[in-house]
Amino acid sequence: MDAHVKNLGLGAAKYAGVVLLLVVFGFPFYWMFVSGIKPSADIVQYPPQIIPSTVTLANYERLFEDTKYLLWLRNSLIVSIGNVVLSVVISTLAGYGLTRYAIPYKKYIAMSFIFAYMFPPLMLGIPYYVVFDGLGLLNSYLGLVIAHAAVTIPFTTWLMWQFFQTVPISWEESAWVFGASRFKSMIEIATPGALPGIIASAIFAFGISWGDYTFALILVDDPNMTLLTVGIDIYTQGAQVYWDLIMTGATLLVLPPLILVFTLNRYILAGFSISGFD
Amino acid sequence: MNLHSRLKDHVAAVRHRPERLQGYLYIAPAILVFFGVSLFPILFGIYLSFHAGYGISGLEFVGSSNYQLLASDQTFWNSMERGVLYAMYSVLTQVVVGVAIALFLNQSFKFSNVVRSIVLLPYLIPTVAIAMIFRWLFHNRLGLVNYLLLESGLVADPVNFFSVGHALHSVVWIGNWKFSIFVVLIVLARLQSIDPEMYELAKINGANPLRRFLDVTYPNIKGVLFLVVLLRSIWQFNKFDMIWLLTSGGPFNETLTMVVYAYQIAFQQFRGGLGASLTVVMFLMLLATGIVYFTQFKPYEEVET
Repeated sequence: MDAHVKNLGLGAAKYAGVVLLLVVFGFPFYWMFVSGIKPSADIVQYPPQIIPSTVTLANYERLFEDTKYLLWLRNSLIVSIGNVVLSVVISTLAGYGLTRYAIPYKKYIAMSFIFAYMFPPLMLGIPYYVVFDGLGLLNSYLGLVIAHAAVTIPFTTWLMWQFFQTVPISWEESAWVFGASRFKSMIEIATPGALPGIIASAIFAFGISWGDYTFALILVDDPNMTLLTVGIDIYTQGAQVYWDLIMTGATLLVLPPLILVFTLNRYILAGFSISGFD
Repeated sequence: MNLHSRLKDHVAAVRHRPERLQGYLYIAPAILVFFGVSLFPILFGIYLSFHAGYGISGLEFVGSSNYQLLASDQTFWNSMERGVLYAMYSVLTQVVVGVAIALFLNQSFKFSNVVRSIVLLPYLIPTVAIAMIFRWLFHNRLGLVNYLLLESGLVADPVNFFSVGHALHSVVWIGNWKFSIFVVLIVLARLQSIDPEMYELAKINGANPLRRFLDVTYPNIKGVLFLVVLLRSIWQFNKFDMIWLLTSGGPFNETLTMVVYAYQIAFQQFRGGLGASLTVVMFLMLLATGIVYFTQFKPYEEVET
């Protein structure tokens, strides 16, 4: 009887905990989404409507037609994909080389990658600005991809280094017996074996570019080259703050990571536990 | 030594040489990137810190005067205090909140997978979206939080969460909403590898929940906690976007950490050299932390070297 009562108490505490977590971590997303589909007059209404009385897509139409949102979306996608391709190719090669070859001073290479976790973003940002200014790389996709790859590659190389260690060398050796070259066995046998690592690397590379605000702010001042993250913030700076447009813009910014989390979360968790990720 | 084994040695030696070269080819692009876009800019940043002016052609050597300027600048010392305070306040609260959530999620309950996914989500959401959502939720006139606080009678007047006395707490806790999840992810992974029998054993021996935490849980997560505290300290100390998007360092420099001040100097006052010297000071502070990290934790031992 006593134990039963105690269990009931614990059960109630558990559900209170679940509700608290769902409200704290789930409600802000709900509020963002709902604020974006209310008519503009309702969003600034006081008291706020927790459940909207009218629902509309007018804010999305305005976002696409009256602002440069689609252009910024395109810029963000181009830079993100560029960073994914560049970082994944470079770190897959490096991960393979570091795992399979007797390269001297490996320990120092590993240390320098971890070292790269520590740089203040502006310690890179200020020199980039000066150098890119000289090279004509400000306001360019290439400049942004280079900056993002510099931050991404230490993470993803570390990740691939660890993932290739899980692929047995004996798989490749049997291919060599049949005359496959080293490069061929890497492409056709080791790389598919390390595919979960490649997917995790691609997600991280995408996440870094898609979420980057700092480099996008420093390295771009042409409104036609602006990335989504900086673009959304522009609406908060005028005399009138367009919260409806900001919330619709934020909803679309959240959507791709949201889809990735729910479809590919096992790769994210696996990669995450290996490399860490800010 | 017979001919056979000499031949074998010879073959092995020949095979080894081109292999090592091939190995360099694989890592060459990564090394190039590291030197070209990480190491070189860092060195160039140090070079910049001894110069004035902006742009490569307009640089003028000024010796250590940037550093002297910083040393005599009260705002700089204030930003150092704010930066360290922000990092320590954030990391401490993130660890407490993160471990608590991880312990909770480690239990089994209905829909625990759904709850876990929702809790982990904030970590992968762009900081810009998070800053916008919370600026809107905490808006001083139209925000939902102020409406609920007023309605429930907890406050008599709307709270301006980004005003003097509130701004630092708001910036830290909005950041925690996202970055505590880093602690949750790492600690939860570790918790799931603890043998449940150890808890049973402790229970049989009459250990209460606190004792079970201290004797079973804590020794198991101690190692990852050290890693988490170090990484998060470095990252919080370097955090720019969250603070800039929420307060831009204001009001009255209350949230003006070193990075935010460096941005203002370099990109609003257009003094690149002075900004660079500030980041060099930050880097030296991080280096000291990094040395502790390398000597205590030896992270490179995680990979085959």
